[in-house]
Amino acid sequence: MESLIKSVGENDYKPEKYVKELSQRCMGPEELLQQKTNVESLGEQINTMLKKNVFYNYTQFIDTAKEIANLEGEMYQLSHLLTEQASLLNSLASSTVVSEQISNSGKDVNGDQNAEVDNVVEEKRVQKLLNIMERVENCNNLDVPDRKCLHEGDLLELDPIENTPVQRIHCYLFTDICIVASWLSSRHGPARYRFQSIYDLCNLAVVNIKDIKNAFKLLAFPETRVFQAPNTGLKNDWLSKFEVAKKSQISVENKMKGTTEHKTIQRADSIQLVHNSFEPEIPEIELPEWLVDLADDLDVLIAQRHFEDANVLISKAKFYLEEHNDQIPIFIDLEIKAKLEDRIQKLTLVLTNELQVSPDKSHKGGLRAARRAVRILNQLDKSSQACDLFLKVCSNLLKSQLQYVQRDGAMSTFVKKYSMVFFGTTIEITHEFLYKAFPNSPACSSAFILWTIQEVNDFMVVLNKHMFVPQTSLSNLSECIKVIHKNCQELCDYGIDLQFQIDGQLRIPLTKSINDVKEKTIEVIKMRFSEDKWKPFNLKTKQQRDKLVEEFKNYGFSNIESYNQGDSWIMLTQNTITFTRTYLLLLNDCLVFYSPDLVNAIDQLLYEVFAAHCNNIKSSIKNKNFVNDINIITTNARFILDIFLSHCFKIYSESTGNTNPKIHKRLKSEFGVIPTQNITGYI
Amino acid sequence: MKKNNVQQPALHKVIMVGSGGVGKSALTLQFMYDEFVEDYEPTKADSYRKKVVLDGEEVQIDILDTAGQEDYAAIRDNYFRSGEGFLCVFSITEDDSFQATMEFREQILRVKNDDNIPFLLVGNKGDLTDKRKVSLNEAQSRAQEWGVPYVETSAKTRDNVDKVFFDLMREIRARKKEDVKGANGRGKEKGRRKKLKCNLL
Repeated sequence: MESLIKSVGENDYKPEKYVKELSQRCMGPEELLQQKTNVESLGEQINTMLKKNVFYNYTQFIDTAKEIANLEGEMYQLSHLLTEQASLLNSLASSTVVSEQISNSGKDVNGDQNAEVDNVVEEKRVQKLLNIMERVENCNNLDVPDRKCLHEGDLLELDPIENTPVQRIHCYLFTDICIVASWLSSRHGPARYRFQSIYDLCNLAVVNIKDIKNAFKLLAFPETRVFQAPNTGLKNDWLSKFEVAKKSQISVENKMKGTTEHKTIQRADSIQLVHNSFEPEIPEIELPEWLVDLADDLDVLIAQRHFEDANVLISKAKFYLEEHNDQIPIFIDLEIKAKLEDRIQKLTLVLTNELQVSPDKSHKGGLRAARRAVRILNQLDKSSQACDLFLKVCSNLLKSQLQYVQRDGAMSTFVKKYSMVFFGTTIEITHEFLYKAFPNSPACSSAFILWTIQEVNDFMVVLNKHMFVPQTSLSNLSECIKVIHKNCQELCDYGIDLQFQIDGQLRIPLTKSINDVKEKTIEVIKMRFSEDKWKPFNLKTKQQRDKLVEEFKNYGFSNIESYNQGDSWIMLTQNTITFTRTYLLLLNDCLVFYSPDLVNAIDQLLYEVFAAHCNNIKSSIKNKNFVNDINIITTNARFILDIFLSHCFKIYSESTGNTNPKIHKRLKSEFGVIPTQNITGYI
Repeated sequence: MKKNNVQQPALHKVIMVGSGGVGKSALTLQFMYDEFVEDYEPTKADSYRKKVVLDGEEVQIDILDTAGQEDYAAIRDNYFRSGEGFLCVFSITEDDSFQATMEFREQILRVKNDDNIPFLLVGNKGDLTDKRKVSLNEAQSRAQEWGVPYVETSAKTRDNVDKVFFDLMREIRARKKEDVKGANGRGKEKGRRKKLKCNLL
């Protein structure tokens, strides 16, 4: 075998050569046959190995795909954070008066290198503008300091009134203007355009057109131009680019205006400082440097998203202030405290924003993404706020998870999936909440309990809508409820028992369904009796009858064979057989729902259906048409009342623990004696 | 536009203004598509168009739903210029939004340079009576002061939603007819408008 594997696995393996060698070496057919089986078993081995490999690759592929999906979510989150940060930095840059000086001084320090980089950037910018000027005919000089091309692309212009296509155009968006150019046709090489119009962004408004696909319009009073982008993504690009351009332009304007204001404010500040320094009782206490810089450092840490460090610094400062309470002059103490309080507020705000649920944030990062913010908020004694927000995140997660459950298809599959997703996610959330986010916090735990109750109620409202549609059978319902109970049981491990809540929500619709089923079943019984001729049931063949006998034995009627007659007959009527089956099914379904709330409805159902059947038997006995069939009626009545009734209530007692069910007694006393008495009367 | 030999229905341009979250988009969507959108997502600037029958005459309404959150008045100017009529919306449950209508009104009058621009003051969220913060009296007296109609709506229950749009369109239509007459008569009556502007300042 080894050698076989070796030789087959060789690089220069040639089947013909191998067979030739083999036939030379082997003596007689037996040996050859032996070789053949060897080869075959090797083939099989390789086959299974291949299969395993395929399977292994497949699982790996699935795992990787999952991992990628996770990663995608995280990347999304990350990009969101980055854009947030970018806007933060932008606003910082535009609001600081000193930023330019800083960057200037930075240039000096870093020497020529920075300047070179700047040069390259500047060159690129100019080159780009020149390129555009070259491609657009009749274009004015675009090269204005600080003007940059932000976006360009092809668009289709539409008639603003009739929405019909007018022409193909190419649009350029710059930091301060927007240029529209029409296409010049039939040219070789790169596309060329003819300058058409120029708009100043100051006088331009951009509007998203909702009811024409991928369209937006530019309002440049009194002109209105409608453009259509090739697809939604490109349209959104244009809209966001326009927005960015306008925002940045306005901030530039504000900056210009702001500079002077800032200067006056600064002056006021310095005056105050001077004033302070002239106060006679200047404390000699040296505050540690970090405390002096506390506010600024905290600002930086928060902006850079080093929340943990910020938190540490805050607690350090708090501790220090506590410790040196009597050494720090009161006004400085107050000032620092006020600043500190302000920064704590700021940090809290940033963190709560982090947790805020908003439509443009992805939830794929899920609860893990919220952990950090929650932890720090807890440390800042903002547990209740964090708890509130966290629960909102949870609700959102649950909602988005449940959205993926397909609502079409069979009711029971939907309910199963929906319930699985709901409880699965809830368990995940519970775990995160009780063990990771808010351990040892009774207040938050009770908020969580309230939350689960609310969610489970919403969940049941959805399920009830799906489950209790007309014509749903009890078996279907019982199957669904079984599943829900089972799933709900899993949550009990965390000390959260929602069954009461679920049963409460089920009570009203379930009672109604039970009553409906009761009425329907009684109706059916009436129909069956109207067609019943009271004849023994002929199953045509022995096999068929054996099958029936077997079925009834499985139900627990051991002496069913005593009703056999001939080869294919059974002395019970078809009506009796059907009733037995229906009733057993009904009973089993009811026992699944059995709960103190529903006892009355269930007992009523079990009693009335059985009583209806018995009443019909009773009237059949009295019916003159069936005088001759009195024997078979008695047999059937006895089966129903003696055997079947006690059988049913044995099952009932076992399941409910009620050893002496009232309805059993009632049925027995109402119908138990009738057949014998009346028969004697008729015989 | 004159080249249209086929009679195009008249186009009335309506602009929704008001603070963020008062229900401008909800009103618009209810009017456009008969649906109430519960989820709140701030609008940037969306436009819609719909053919409607106004007093037996087919017309087109162009609704520009603006951003309540817009921080920069300069940007709003550009939107307002294109409007022929304005629905100035506030929420009866939020006094701030009611106070903000002043600013919107002033800006619109300044941009349009016209004191008689078709304009309706709309108090939305009329279904939330238990949270009412702006009394009917207050709103009505402000509307009276401005010489504009005041209507309370509910985008949720669709109360008066059609009414505000149709009322505004009627005013725009009346206004356009008047303008044509004025233009045919003795040139544009610019003087009147200018004067009114002075009153404002």
